[in-house]
Amino acid sequence: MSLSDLPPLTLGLAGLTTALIAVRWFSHKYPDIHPVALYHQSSISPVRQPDESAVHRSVVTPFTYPLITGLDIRDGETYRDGDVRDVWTLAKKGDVTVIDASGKTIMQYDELETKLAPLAAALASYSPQSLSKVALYLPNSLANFLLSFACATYGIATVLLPLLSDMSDLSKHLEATQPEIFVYVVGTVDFTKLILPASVSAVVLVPANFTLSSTNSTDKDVTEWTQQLKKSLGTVQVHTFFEMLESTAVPPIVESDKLKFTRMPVFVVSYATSQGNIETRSFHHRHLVSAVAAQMRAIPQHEKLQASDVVVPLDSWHELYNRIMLLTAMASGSHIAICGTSGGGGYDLDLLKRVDPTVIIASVRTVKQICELKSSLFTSFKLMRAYGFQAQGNLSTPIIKSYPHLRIIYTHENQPPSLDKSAAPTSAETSLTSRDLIHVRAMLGARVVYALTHPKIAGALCQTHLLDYRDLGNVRLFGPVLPCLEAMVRDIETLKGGNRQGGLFVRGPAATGPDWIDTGIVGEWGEDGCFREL
Amino acid sequence: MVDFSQIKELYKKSLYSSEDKTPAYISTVNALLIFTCVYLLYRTVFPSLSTNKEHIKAKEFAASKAEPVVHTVYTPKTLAPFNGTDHPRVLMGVKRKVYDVSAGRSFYGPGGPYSNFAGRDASRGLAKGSFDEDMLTDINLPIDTLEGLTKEEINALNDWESHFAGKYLLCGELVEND
Repeated sequence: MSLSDLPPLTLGLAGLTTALIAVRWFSHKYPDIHPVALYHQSSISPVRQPDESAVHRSVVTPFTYPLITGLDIRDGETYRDGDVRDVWTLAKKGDVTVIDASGKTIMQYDELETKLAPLAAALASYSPQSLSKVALYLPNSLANFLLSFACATYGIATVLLPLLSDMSDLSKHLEATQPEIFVYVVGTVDFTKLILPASVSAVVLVPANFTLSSTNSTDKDVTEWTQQLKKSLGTVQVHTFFEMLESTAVPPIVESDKLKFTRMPVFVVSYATSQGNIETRSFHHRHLVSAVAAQMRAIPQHEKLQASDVVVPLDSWHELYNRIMLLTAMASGSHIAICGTSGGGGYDLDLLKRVDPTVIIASVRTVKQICELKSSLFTSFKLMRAYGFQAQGNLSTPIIKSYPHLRIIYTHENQPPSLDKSAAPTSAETSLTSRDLIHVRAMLGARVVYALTHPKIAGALCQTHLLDYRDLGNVRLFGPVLPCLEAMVRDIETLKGGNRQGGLFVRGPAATGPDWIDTGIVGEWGEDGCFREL
Repeated sequence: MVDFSQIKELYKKSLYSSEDKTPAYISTVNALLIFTCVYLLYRTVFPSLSTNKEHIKAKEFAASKAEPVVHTVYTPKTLAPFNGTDHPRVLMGVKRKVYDVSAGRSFYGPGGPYSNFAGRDASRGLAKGSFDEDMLTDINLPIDTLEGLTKEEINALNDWESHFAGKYLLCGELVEND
């Protein structure tokens, strides 16, 4: 029997089947990463102590290799780790854009650099003794950006105050950190309820929508508040951000020894412990550059942040992880777009859509907000399709089309800084399970890096591999440890380190302590080398 | 006599068409082709959610990796069985540290030129460059304090220690018997 003898319907169906097989053959894509790499994400020590698991490291820095300590900045014939000033230098390939409801302002780093010296000089002149700490109670803004780099460049520590609405909580953070200068946005602090510690010698008011073209004379709010505060704060000086920018004072002398400079504090972070106390931790240049360099090495070469990326830091810069990611984006030469701060009082998603980001740094809550979409049968079909693509190791096109160029989302698990535990959001709001990550990737068509952080570690402790799309169920999966750290778990209660379960201990250049730091996080190492929180 | 060629013809016809009252396009082959098309179309639009074979193989490979060795405190008596004969692992003591030299079984294991050192403190023997039995201290006696070694012998021992540290796994320490 020949083909021509076949009935037309049968012939047609045979042709269609062949066509479908051909389409599947030619459209077949290899997975974004080989499965063997996903099940070998850590370098594991061959020996362990009896009450501990094996020490886990990143595959980038296996045993016998040194952990990543810095940016490898060429200095004549040698290389050095670098400091935050080198991050600024590397950032000059990109620019800073401030976006708000009125429009977009693009600024080059050379222009911004001219503001750093006057700011530092003004800060130094406001403190009668030598200035050591400046507390910033600011959202993500140009003022925040300039002040923190001015302080870092001139050896002044910046206290990163959480954006708390409860003034008594804020008072406790100030009392614990003892800054000399307190900087805040006009109208955001109630001084009848806030108790300034005795260390504070000056208060600086920043206008709500500061841009480089703003002036004192045009901002009536700042003028009125300044006059009121001068009457109510007694001996505490009151200054405005405009005054600082026009300062002609001499900036503080910077430590000339670059090695000593790396050991100077840059950020002071305050956090509430489980016992309800406020503790502080000081991070030096060397901790920060180690964390930044590790972030740059942790993602695959072909996916790394580039000069063409538009990075939008959505989450508040009071969290050190967000600062580290900002520094990482700057060191990669990416464009930084400041368009406000998420969390607390809500967020303008329309503004984010206008920016058209390629990378966003956001909290879990913000990521979930961005992924919200009205459920429908069609959305369910699209989700099912997207989940299937991820199961095969690829990403599908996004379901939410508002961010067409979005390719990476950096997010992390964090704890809120409020001492009022009754006000704390539940774990489901502040964490993402493996299944949630799949959903986020499906909705936005972007890869997600989900990090585990700790107040005593600069940046992330562990983070998911950029190309890990596995569905491991309702497990909080955090991936392998970063190349600037090594970690292990130790026996705790019924959990045994020998079974790879227990309390997580970490050490390395990005950790604020020479020995193993007890993170208080309970979890286990999977056979794939990834850490899962229990 | 059964005519097989006729049966064969009838069978072929039934595959491609039906001579019954049912419409001509209903046939076994068409049904199979329709099912295949629908399945292929479904899988093209909705890729499979199940874990593919590569992942399963990779997972099994990861699970089969050897467990890390536990750092153990040994005494001369508890170290002795690890000579490659009484126990498959070959351990050796050098300057109160215990190294797993199983990878060098051909040298240190049973039948090897340095098999005397297996499961024992080899410090004096390495210092003096001798593999004789009299270099070894009885396991019931205190650990050799390495008294009487010359400066050259101590240097030689330190070189050997560096060699072992670079090549083999440090898996324990050697302490006195209880």
